[in-house]
Amino acid sequence: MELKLVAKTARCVVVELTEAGKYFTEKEYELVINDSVTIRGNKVITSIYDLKPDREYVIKAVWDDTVIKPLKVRTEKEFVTLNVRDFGAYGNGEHDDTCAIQAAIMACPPDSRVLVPEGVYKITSIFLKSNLILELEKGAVLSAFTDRTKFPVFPGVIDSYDEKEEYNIGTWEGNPLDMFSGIVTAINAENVVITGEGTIDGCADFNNWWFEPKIRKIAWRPRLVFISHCKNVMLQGITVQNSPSWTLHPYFSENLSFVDVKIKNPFNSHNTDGLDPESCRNVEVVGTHISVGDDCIAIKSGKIYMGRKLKQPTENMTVRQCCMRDGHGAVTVGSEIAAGVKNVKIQDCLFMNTDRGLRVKTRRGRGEDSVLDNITFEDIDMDNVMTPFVVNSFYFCDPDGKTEYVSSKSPLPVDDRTPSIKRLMFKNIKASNCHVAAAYITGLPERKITRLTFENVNVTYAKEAKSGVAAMMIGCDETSRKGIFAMNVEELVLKNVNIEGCEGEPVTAENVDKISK
Amino acid sequence: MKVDKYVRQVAESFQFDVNDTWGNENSMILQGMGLMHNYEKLGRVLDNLIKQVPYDRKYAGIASFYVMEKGETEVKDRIKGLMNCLNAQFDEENDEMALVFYTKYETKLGGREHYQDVMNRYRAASEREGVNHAYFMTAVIEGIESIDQAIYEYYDGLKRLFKTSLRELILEDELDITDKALAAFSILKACRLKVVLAEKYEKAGLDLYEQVMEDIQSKDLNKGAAMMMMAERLLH
Repeated sequence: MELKLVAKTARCVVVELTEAGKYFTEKEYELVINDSVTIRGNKVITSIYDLKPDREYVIKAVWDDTVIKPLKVRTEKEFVTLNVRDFGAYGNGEHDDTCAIQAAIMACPPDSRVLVPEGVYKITSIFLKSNLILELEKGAVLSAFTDRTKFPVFPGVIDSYDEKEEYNIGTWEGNPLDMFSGIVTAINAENVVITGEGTIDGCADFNNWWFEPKIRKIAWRPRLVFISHCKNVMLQGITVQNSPSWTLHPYFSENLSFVDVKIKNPFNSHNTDGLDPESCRNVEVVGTHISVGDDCIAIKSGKIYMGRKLKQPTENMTVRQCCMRDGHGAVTVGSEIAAGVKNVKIQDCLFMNTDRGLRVKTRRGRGEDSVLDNITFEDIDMDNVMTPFVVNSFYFCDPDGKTEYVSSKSPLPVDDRTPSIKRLMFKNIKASNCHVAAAYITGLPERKITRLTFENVNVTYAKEAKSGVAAMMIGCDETSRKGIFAMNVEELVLKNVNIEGCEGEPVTAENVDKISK
Repeated sequence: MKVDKYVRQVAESFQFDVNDTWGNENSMILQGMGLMHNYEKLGRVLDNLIKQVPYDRKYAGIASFYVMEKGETEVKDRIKGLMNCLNAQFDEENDEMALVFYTKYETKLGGREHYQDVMNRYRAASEREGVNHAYFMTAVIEGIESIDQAIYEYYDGLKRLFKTSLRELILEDELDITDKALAAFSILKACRLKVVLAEKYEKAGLDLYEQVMEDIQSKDLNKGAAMMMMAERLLH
């Protein structure tokens, strides 16, 4: 057991107590700061606030009366604090504080912070710039207006004057389409931190953004936080809730950290994915709690046009010590993955009450650049998940998704439209109280999944197991207590796999070239 | 007032010729009427006229969509019948305007399953020897407005076809008055839909519009093309 530094700013330190559990610690413990302040905690990742800049702190963890080796950490330096109230923000829940907060942001010098103190600040969109720390103090709420006519529009594509190139700003479901600017937006910015115990509230409900959600009105719905073409961005500690659409949407960005973030949207809200990195590199998600109406984390790389044009996969992503609950999928890869997804590791996480644990959604037509490779789930506990593992190569939810081309189970010629899935690994997984199936895996007959590994996997079913459809594809019937179903796979590895209480065979393999045990 | 008078004059004298086919003047008049559908001053006249359209004629197809969009859902079955008719008789040489109907049909009623075929037909039309760029651009810009942008690669494909055709049209020495009307319509519409940069092309569209309006009573002017142009101009 060890106390490790996860992240720090001038005012906050985030620590991790290793080998103490998955997201929650196995028991409560204490963190003692400089032998004076004690915090009781029950999470592996903990944020410590109200620290002073450029000061050394000694942090001890006390676990079962045993003191873990202390962590010494010096907070970052800080030049000035710009309090948004000094810039004219009211924080009274009525006044439009957008301009006042924006003014503070634009005026902020390097190594400084914009502080949003306790209060409710009504805003439309605020825009972040490089070298900025935006701190939302405990009790501070950036509360968005919901009148769409107040929001700026980001055009999908603007032609260059010589008509040889184009500039993309707006994006909707993987295509360059007009959308409203995010409630918090960063474009082409570097070294940006949003930190604190406060909240960004999209205030979406079924009378505004979630009403007729699939109809474009002026433009497509905004993200809660939109991070486009940025580098070195960290979101830490904050709560983000009631998002009009995808909650956190990093887009063509790199070196991103999401630490101890709380993402909350109602279970029945429309397309309110938690975190959707799209064509991003080097993404770390740590200690984050996600409860949403769609996928908790959805990893993407553009629909056909953007993927084919820019060929930027999402790659080098780790998700650790997170808790995901109530969504359609805990971690989803797809469906907009035309440029592929590579090198993703999900580790030490809890998945609770989601429809699926891992969910891969792809289809013919995503293109030859849509390569999914080296995706690993390790040390995951799932509870009350309908189907822990779903890989669907016939996903039908696109506007043209129910065509014969997408749904045909017969092999079609491999061409530049054919996507591929290579290596997927599921290791040390405990899935309790499952309902529909242990796993529902379908590759394409003309391009099978290269290698699918289940190692140390234990699946049990709920006493009153519900029935349901494991994958959104034509031909997937409603089932309950089904075992592992795998179709169109080159090599299926099953090492120490226990499926307890399934109906029928624990493993059904169709068109699988080799099964290793 | 010039526009009001002209459209009223065309609408009131409009007669169907059952022997007409796609791409002819009547088809365009219907399309122009459809585009004028929300033009308040003429709405009632056009509503009444469009309701008289014999929907068993495929050239009524584009206009019939406007009626359907106004809630006349019984038109839907007739539109499906028109699509079957079109599938059976797609005239590769003369059916630029039918492409618009095909695109609208796929988006609204066809499940978008045949966008690839729609795209192939547009491409084939663009590559045909002696293609009339003004007609073709009109068909493309109407297709761009009709296609589902969520399947962006086809939307982008049409945009590219439009730009290529526009570059060709600009190189042409002389345009007849109907070509000018259609070019004005399609260029102005392309600017409004942000398919091309308004900064670079809108003036050309407006100049063509003025040239047509100066000779609006010309016998050589396709009245439908004129109405489409006027309808678009009202939006600028």
